[in-house]
Amino acid sequence: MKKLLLLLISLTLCGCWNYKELNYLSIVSGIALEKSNDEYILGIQIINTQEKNNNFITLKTKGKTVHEALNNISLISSKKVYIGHNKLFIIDEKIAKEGIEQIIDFLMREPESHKQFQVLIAKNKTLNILENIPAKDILLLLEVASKQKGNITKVTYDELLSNIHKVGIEPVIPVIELNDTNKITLIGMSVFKGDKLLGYLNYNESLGFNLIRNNVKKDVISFKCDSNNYGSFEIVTLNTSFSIKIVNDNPFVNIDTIGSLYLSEINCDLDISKNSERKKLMGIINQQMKEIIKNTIETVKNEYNTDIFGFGYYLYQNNYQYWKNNHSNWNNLFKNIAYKINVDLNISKKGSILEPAKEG
Amino acid sequence: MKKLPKDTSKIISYIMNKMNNNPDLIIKKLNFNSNQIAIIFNENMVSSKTINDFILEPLTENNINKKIDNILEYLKTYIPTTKMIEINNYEDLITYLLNGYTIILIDNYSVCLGIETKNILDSGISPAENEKTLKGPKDAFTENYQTNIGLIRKRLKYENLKLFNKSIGTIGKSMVGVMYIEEITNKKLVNKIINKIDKIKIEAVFDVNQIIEIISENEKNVIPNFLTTERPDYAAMQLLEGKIVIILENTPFVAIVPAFITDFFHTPEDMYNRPINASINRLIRFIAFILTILTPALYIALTTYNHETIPEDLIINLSIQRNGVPFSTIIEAILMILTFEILKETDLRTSSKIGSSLSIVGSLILGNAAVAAGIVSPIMVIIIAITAISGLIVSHNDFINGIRWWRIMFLIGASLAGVIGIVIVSLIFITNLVSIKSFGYSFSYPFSPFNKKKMGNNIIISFYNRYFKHTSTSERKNI
Repeated sequence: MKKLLLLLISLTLCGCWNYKELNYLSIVSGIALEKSNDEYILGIQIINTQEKNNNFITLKTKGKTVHEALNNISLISSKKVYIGHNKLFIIDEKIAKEGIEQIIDFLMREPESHKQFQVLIAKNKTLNILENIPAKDILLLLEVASKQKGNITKVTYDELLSNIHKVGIEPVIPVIELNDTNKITLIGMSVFKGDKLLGYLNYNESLGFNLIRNNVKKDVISFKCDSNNYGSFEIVTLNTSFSIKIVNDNPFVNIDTIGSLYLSEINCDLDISKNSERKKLMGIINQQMKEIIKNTIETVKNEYNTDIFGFGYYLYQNNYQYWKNNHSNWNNLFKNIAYKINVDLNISKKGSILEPAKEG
Repeated sequence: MKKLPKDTSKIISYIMNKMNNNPDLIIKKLNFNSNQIAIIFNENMVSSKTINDFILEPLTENNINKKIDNILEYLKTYIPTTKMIEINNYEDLITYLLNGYTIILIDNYSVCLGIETKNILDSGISPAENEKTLKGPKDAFTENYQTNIGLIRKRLKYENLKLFNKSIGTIGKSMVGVMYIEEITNKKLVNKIINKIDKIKIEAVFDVNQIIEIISENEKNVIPNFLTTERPDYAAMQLLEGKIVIILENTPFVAIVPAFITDFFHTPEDMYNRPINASINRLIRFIAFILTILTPALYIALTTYNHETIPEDLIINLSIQRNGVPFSTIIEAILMILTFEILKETDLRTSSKIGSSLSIVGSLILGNAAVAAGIVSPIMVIIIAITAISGLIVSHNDFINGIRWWRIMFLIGASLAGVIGIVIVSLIFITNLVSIKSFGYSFSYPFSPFNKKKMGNNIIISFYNRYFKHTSTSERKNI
């Protein structure tokens, strides 16, 4: 009897007493958050399990806090909301500008939620995205884009959280947009300082950011091969690393990009079977990549002055003494940071077609 | 080659000594024409009708008046047999004796005669019904005690294959035989079992299980600590492993002790199949064991407590299937398991002629109608089907029933506390398994106490292990 009692106590005290039948659960596949007049508007996309074809329903509630809004769903849905399988979290631009600390706090504390879901920033019509597009499609788009394109990187919730709290690095979040025909587009990265949104990077700046953070694995990049015409190349391998030296008590960043590419398209009058011509071409490409990186750093430095590249974090890890003495002044140091960019890309495959396809 | 002496009594005492006074060895002394003659044969291997008609009759004829000079020549001429051999050394003598020959020893001659009187043991022996195999011998033990011993003896024609005989039951008086190979088997174990059989006080026994249940000291556990088989080849194989075979009169099953947990996953066919294929079969049996014990419990734990462990697409699928089912998952599972157990039991008890209609009704209820009526979800039918099929992969019925008991324990654990409940029950289960003793040996060997070498042989069979490792029997003393 005593043993049985002990067993029962150990079972009830373990904290996992949450018996729930599957058919009484609403499985949430995406959450979106907007704000209007001091109140959060929460949209959750749940899978409709009443019918066999995986369609979805989006429910909307309001509340002063995120949890209150989530709890208010009980007023409109009979099933218990289950966010353990949530994979997507879309934050409205307006909230992001005010600071996201308040809204991510709830998800951090909620034991049911895992921390690996993707975070996106929507420029407008945040709830409309969830109402019109299945979360699964958005995730798939993000997955494919982050692999195939250089300007998009996935950011999961726990990465975002750690980048907010780490010293010397600021978070970025990919940006999604719903256009007038209810189609979604991923448009690049957004820049944060702490938990507040500062602005957006354009296409090339997003690419430059991802180049510095070594996130680009594959992309097709076009370049101007003569005054009017363009060619393009595809990245085969790309590896970027940066190191920071202290020169005259100021940090000096050295960015090295090495890799190989193959030419996929040339519309200029070039004979790439000749070594000298190839060399000239590579000069153009390397110069362009250098420009992309340089412009990114300049924009971030001058326009936003937020260390999204993690230069400070590098110093924190590798030169703690310097960081300790200068971290209070890091904003200033970052604004005036000196850097040198080395790009060394080579042609690994040029293809067997040497001359551009044209008449004559 | 030791030559035979001329003194018959010396030969007899030598044989008695060599065969350790085997009770099935019959020695009959005769006086024929003022000569001492002895007839030796192995009772279980010979046809007594042949001996009576063709050996004893010519030897006991009284109408020989004249004195016979060369009695050996006389016997060679006048015993009506197709196969007669002159034997002049001990080794041949024992070999022929164990092969079902009748030996005639004559005083003052250094040769003896071997006459073929082999009993046809295979008559009336039917194929094994419960332990089916594709390859290997098809014969099974019968209700005849002598035949059963003969079936083992004809596979192991070895003088050190010992038999201990005893009749038990104050009213039934059935013969019990304990067979073992002397130099391989642990002598202490043999004595222990013989002592225990000696002490049995019962009116009558009808199956070997009854004896084992009395002597195995395992009444508290649902998992059996002995094997029963109806296949003589398997019994012989186990004798070579150093185990003891207990044979009871009037039952076609023999018991093998001691048994280890891995034995329940072995079949005699493992030794006839190609090693790598047999190893895969064994692995499949182990996987099926885990599946049959855990599948319903895991399903319940994951779908009612630990939703986060199920992949998203699957959980949506399961949720759609659960839609509209009136019972909770645990009730659903118990309902289906109960239905299956009733069906299994009914199928066992009915004659095969009714069986087919039973299976149609059963499969309809279990399969289609219950789902169509919305009583159970389709996934639950699949879960129970996997459990049931996997549960029948082992051919030992006692073991299957033991598994059933634990499956329900796991189910209860899972329904009370999810995965944590399963972990708690598995701790109890493992503790129970390692605490079972099989006649002094640890039942969970070679997992606990851990023996890496033996573990390999028990699960993965290699060609080398099977055919070359234990060529000498004296090296086999390993259990």
